Amino acid sequence: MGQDFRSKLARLRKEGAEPSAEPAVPDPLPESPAESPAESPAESPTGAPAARVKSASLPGWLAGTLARRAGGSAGGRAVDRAPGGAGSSPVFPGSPEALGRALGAAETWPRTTGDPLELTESVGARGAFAQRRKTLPMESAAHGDWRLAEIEGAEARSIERLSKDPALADIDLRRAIYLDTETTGLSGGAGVYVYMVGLGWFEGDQYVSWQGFLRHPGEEAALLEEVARLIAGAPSVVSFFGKSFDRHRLEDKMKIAGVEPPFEGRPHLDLYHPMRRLTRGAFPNGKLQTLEKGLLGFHRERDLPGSLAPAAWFDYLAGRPHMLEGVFHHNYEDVLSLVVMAAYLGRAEIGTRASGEPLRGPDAHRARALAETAGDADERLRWATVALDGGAEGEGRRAMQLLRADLLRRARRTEEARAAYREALEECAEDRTAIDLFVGASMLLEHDLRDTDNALRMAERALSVARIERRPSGVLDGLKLRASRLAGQRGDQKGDQ
Amino acid sequence: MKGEANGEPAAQSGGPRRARRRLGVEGIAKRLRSEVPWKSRIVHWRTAPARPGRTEAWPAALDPRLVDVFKRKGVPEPYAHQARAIERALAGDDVLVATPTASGKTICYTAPVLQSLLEASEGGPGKRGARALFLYPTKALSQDQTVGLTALVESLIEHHGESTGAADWHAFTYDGDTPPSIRRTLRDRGHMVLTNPYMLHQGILPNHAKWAELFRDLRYIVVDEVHTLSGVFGSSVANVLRRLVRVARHYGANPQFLASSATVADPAAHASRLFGRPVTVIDEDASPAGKRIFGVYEPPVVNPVAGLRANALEEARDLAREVCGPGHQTIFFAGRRTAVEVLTRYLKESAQRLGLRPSEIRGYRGGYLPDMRREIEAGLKDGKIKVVVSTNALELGVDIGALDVAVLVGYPGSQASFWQRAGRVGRRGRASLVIQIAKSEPTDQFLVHHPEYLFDAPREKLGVDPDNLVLLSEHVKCAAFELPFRAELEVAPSEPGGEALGETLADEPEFDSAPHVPEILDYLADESGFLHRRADTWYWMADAYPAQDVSLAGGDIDNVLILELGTEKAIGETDRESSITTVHEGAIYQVQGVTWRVERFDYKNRRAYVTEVESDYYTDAQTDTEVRVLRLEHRESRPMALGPVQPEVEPAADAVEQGPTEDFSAWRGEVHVTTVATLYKKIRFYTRENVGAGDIHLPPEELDTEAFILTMSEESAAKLGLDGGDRGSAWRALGDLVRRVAPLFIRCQPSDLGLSSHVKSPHFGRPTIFLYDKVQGGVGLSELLFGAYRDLFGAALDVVEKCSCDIGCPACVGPVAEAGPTGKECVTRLLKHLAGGALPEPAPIGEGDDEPEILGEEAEFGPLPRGAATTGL
Repeated sequence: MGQDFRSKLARLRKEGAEPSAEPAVPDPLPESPAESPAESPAESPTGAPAARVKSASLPGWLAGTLARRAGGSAGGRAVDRAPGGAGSSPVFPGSPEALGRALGAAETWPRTTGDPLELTESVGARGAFAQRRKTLPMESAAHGDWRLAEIEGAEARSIERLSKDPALADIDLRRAIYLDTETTGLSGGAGVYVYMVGLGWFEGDQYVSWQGFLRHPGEEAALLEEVARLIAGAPSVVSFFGKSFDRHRLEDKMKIAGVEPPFEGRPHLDLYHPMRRLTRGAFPNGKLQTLEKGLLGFHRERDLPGSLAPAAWFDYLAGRPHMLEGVFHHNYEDVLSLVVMAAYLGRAEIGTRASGEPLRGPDAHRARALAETAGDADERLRWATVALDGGAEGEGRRAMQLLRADLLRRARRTEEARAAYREALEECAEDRTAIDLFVGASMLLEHDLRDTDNALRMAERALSVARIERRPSGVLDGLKLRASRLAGQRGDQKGDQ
Repeated sequence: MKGEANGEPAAQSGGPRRARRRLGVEGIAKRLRSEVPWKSRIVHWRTAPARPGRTEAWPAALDPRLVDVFKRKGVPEPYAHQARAIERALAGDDVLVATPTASGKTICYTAPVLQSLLEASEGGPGKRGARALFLYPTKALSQDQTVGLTALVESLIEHHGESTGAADWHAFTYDGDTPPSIRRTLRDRGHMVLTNPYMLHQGILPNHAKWAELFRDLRYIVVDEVHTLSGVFGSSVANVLRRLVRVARHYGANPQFLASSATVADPAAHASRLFGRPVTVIDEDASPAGKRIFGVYEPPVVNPVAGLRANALEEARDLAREVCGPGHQTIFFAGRRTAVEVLTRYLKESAQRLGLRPSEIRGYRGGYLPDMRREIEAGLKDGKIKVVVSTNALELGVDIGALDVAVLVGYPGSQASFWQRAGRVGRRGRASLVIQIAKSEPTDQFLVHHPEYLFDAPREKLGVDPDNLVLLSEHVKCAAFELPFRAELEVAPSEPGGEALGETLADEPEFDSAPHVPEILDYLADESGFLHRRADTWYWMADAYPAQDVSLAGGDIDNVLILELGTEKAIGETDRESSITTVHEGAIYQVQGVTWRVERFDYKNRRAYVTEVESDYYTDAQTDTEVRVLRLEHRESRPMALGPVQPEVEPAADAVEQGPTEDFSAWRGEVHVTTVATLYKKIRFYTRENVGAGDIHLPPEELDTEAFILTMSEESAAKLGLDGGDRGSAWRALGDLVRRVAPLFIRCQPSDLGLSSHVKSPHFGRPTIFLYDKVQGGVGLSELLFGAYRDLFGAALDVVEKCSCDIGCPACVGPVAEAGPTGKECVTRLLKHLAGGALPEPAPIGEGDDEPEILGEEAEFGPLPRGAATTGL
């Protein structure tokens, strides 16, 4: 009966044995573990469910057997890095090159069978789950070319300012909890599991790495409850892109499991946005791996890309050889990167490391971010000058030129302002920034230098660039108003003479 | 006036405008009854006298503040059906109100919903909140209703103050147009969320945690216009509702259903299949109505030999000069979008003669921009627009106020649609007029002779099968993404600890009512790899979002894209099933009069490449259909001896001696249908001469489905004259006619049913007709056919007997070229025999009948391509 029903269902769903032209001949047995068999990770990370792939590959039982054999023989842990593999450049899941790189990287991480290592079981009111806990001495532990202890000198002021989040005014990185999760997909929705939650925090002079792990989906409620408890015990949360992703995955799952989510009202430093502000345009993208390499001197040796995380857990649950050790390692490193990156952010204003050496990274970009987020005019001017002196280029340089000139004008440092406008407009008088520069110059001429003729000339130039640049009509109207007012004034003056 | 300012010609005073201003509905009807040519064309009149409303006191359980608000909105007392619906809802029943358009159904669910909100905001701490989810079939409807609900809430605040808590109640539309920036607010604060089945399926349910507040407090699920929920769509929505209740239950809610419907046959059965539980039905309409006049219009015969009648759309154009005018509002309903455009243009051109300005005449259909639609709706409501020509877009409850005259060009295909359209006219205290113009279709012709069918109790049954294995398994997949399923062992009740009977679902009342769900879950885990089973629980375990791949309307995932060769520009799309006859290599594909030739059909990747050509011919593909019987489930049979003897047929002397053998049988069962396209003909436009042919080499289309089957014994067939050269044509014509009258009793389109006929079926060894459900797995049509076949034979007989043609026409058995020269005569004889005489009785499925046989090459008569029968007419 059961088999009858299955074949009927397969037939109706048109998933049965298709009258396929090519008979399914299994591939010859793989020679080496590197050319891994049927469910090599190539088949699932792009979001295609295993179902689509399965029919084209080996029968499940055979594939499983082969894979187990392959995994077993690779026990020696090959560490050689594949060309173009881990750490060489950031990964965009989905693109063919990225997939290729991901595979290169993945193959350097050997598969294991059974439970991951070093797990301890934790049992609470809602059942058991597993965790891996590790401590590092804060003083000596390093990540990239940073020491964890460098969070000590980090300033909340700098963090708050660059995050533009007043809730972070009192953030204390020593008491915060650092969060990164691994899930079964990026699509969102109730069916996505958060199967690993990496947390980091400080206890006395120790850094604690805690990784909660689901040995099976039935442990979810127990894990979520513990995660909620741990997060609720910290005054603030630090993550990377977590306000947009990790928080929601956890919150959704907690609501389903009936666990009170700990995020509402708890200050949350999402490093993604301030770090982007600090480095805007300096790196090809704003990903964690890019930033940790460029700013923290951290190069991942063998990294399992996050895009392979779902397949690793699926393999594990199905009893196949899996790459969960790679995921544990990747997640552990991610959380450490959060710690030192937060330290970096907290030192952005001071500009130096605990040792006194200057922060690595694009100085001019940092100065620009500080100029744009500073509270008072003097400081803004100071950072704008730093950015310009520090070799800001392109769009950033134009923005700083404008800011500096406008600030000087408002500070009534008339001659310096005039020089600043002139210098900027000599460099370029035909981009969008030039419109604002001309307007600023026009105002300077009108109010401070009482030169209506030239003020008008500047206003007209602003208008003409705005037309070429096809600015919206609101902008054009404002410029026209200024020009016609000045033209009127000049008429009056002429009349007076 | 606006029109004049735009430079439109003003109708002269004293001209037609003035003359026609006083044209009243009764006056129009009088002219149509007495003047040539109308009086001979309108073959049937019926007048329903004005009827007063029957009101009752507001139910005592309804909060007096709500009573006050409804009174202020112009409802001093509810009609009897409203009062009862509110009372039953407040008493905790699931309620379906099945009454006509404009009978005040909205109040039946807004009153209980608002009452629950009032109670929740006044209940002390610890008491649950209350929220409601409203499902509408279209976006436009949900927008309208949001405005209505908001107005009620505002009135409550205004007259009963903040203490009601109503200031915190919000009604929101949540659909594809809702900007992401406000979705969050809406999720957290929307007490009344108005959406559609698609959003619920793909947006809300898969993300239910984000809607946790709504689900936790969900008191009511309002489902509007449930008569639109039939077929694949209805069966899918029934499964979405299972998922909805399941998710609500997870959060501790136990919502009630409040539903509305147009009048349909057996609404209780329909609602209970949709909602999976018994429902209290209220279908006695107590609202008042003005005098209503109905006329059935039969276009004149233009070719007496072929029995051809004048085109219905052209008749509507002529009729317009009587029924349009500046003093009242007229609505025309046409079937297709092009018909709407053609008629609108014609009417605008003759506006002056109608005493109208062109701007007072508008078309309305899907595909117009929302702003334009709103403008037309408003124009109809405030009376500025006098004439509107619409597709079924104005059939559902978009608010346009009440109009005066409706002209239906062709029967809309279902009684519910007919009444929805007719319900667009009729103002309180004034007469209204509805004219139904018959097309050359069997259903239309049937109604010409049997107008009572329209006015009697509804007879169409809605086909819904939530347990269709294809749909069920897809929605079980979606449901497993939303929450895990758990199994428990079913143990024989008599002996505790006794033998396990098998697995059932634990604590899953919604899906446990469906068969085989544990097996489906195992299948999805083992064969498809979407789920992971651990001990007694199935968990979703794939990096995928299943709702995205499951379409509620069915079919559209496998569509074939038609691309211009070279540029890859998309020209169009066609569904998988018809691709083998429309985009095979060599086919001429037509779009808006432009002809494209298919150069290459990449069947596997679902792409057809075409080049534009000036073709003077079109192509017509022939198919062969094989139907293999997989399993027979029911049979009704009539023994030979009891059959009436046809006087015109010679009695077969030996038949009596043979004793009672079978006369004919009706069956229901599972079949496998293979359709293969064999060749195509090139047919010249206009002359329709055959100018060539080619072979088609494409894989067959396979369909596993359910069928209604008619078999007739060889003896009966011989007696009835079903022999000779064109017996195959006549037998097939019979099947096709039954297929085409099916919508009179079953809510479906003829094209939802496939036909295969055999004078000697390899399976049954005798004349056989298969009518099969064209949805993979079937959605219940075969069961309805099996329940109604005698009615279908009767209606088909009536159509043939009363048809004015001599030897066959498209309105009955089809043109002579298809049904054969004696087709009409033969079909009439067969139908008389089948529809008359003793009723068939349940019979055992005979030995060997149920054994599948592989068909040879014999399948003779594949179905004609859709619409081929009337091509060029």
